[in-house]
Amino acid sequence: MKRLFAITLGILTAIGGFVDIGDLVANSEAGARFGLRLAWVVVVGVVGICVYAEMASRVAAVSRRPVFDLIRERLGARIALANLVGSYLITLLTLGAEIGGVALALHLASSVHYLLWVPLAAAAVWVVLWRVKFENLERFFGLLGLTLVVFVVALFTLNTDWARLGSELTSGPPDTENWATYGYFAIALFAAAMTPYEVFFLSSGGVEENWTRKDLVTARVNVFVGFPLGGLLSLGVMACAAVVFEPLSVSVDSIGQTTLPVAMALGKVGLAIVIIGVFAATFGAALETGLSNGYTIAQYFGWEWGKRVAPRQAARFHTVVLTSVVLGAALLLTTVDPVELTEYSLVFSAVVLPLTYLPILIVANDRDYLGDQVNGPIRNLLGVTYLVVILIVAIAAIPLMIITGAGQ
Amino acid sequence: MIGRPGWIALSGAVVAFAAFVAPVVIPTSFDDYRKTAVQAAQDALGQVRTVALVVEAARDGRTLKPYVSQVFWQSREALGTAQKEMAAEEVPDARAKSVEAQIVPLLAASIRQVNAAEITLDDDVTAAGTAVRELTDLGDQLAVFVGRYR
Repeated sequence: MKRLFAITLGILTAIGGFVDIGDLVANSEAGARFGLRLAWVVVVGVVGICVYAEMASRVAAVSRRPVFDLIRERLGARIALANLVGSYLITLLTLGAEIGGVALALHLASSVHYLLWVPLAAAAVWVVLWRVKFENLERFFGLLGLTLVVFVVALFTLNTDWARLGSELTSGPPDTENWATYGYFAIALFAAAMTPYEVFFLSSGGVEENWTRKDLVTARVNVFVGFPLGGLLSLGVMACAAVVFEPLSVSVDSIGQTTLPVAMALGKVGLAIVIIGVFAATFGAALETGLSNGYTIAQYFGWEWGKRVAPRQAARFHTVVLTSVVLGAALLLTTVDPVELTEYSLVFSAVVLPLTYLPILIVANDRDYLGDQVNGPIRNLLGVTYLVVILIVAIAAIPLMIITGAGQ
Repeated sequence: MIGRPGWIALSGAVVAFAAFVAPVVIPTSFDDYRKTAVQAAQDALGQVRTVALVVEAARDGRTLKPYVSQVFWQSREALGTAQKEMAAEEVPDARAKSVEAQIVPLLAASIRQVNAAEITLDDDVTAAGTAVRELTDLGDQLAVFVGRYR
């Protein structure tokens, strides 16, 4: 019974924790401009993150060491440094975007300008990271993020033209768009689903929670059930934007617009719930990205890390976390638009994806670390296939950003 | 012979020229002007129609006051940016002048009507229907502009 409860809780947390500012922005923008024509990318991205998240969690559960730690040991300091620099910078950009998302949710709820909320949101993120236990922060915000299910409820309440949505699933770009913008948004959606911090957080979190081989089943169920259901929330966001904005030729460029379909469908209560959902999703992701920044640097340099040890014992880890939160907030205080910051973080994230996922594939094939739990042929086939996709995405991201003027 | 540092410096200079100097030195063509105008019109179209949806939802009691105020703030910001970008663009020829004569009043009307809609919502929610109709008409005009010059 206790095990069933743990599995259910893990799944719910994974669903609620799947969506972050990148998913909210990319899915609503894509839905407004392309309807459901890019829904297949979300499916491809979710399968990809499942493949690699399972590998990362297996590495953590069997070796009882996080992926980044092993990357340096297995691939050497130089390659690990390239991985570290790319991953840290992207995760820092993402952290800034998530803090911006928290501030925007508070702006929606209070009408106080989001820039005034940025320092408070950053301070709150740091206090929670400092004071709250790992399991509690992960579960609380993951479960609260489940309120984003209102997008799915709204979809069934809105006057949805299901036939039109269905026909879009297999169509190319609409007349108003071209293949370049279609490709650009496909890359953004793929990167939103496969954000690098997710695997760092998952594998380090596994070590924080003392996963062993016994926890492999729980970890797999969380990944293979929780993430796809989280992907459904992303598709709900996309479909709501497709129903409300696409017929009006309105492109979405703010969180206010993203949440509007819920208000139209479910009124004040729905609007309040979706604002709470956006707050929880972005706050939870800010915690995960903040911790991931600390994890990657501390693990590379071999410092004591994590929330399982007292802050005094992991002072350098906590300093990195604090510095990252401050840098993320400072980035926003330059008045860069959080939604634009999110868009750029997704594109640059796409560029560094191979740096994150190739080492995981290598480590997951190493018998010294995984023994009988190394990748089998099917996992390797999937891993290599996705690596090819990731490489194509990484190569195409910047040229498409330039050609389309960042999706204009 | 240019050595490796020379090639790096040359590449840097070419990139810097392409990124910073070329856009200033090379004169704006009609096509550039048209693209900027279409982008501004599309942005305005998005804001005007979003505000119309929000006003309608507010009239039906489906929104929260801080939310509505945030949407209006966002719209004003976006419309202000579109107007500034349009004003900063050099008008290269007579054809562009004709485009300018259409887009500038549309952008001004967008700002005016978004402000008017906010005042209407504050003063008299029952009069919001008129604001929605006006915003819808303006949205249609912007859509025609986008369709003509895309």
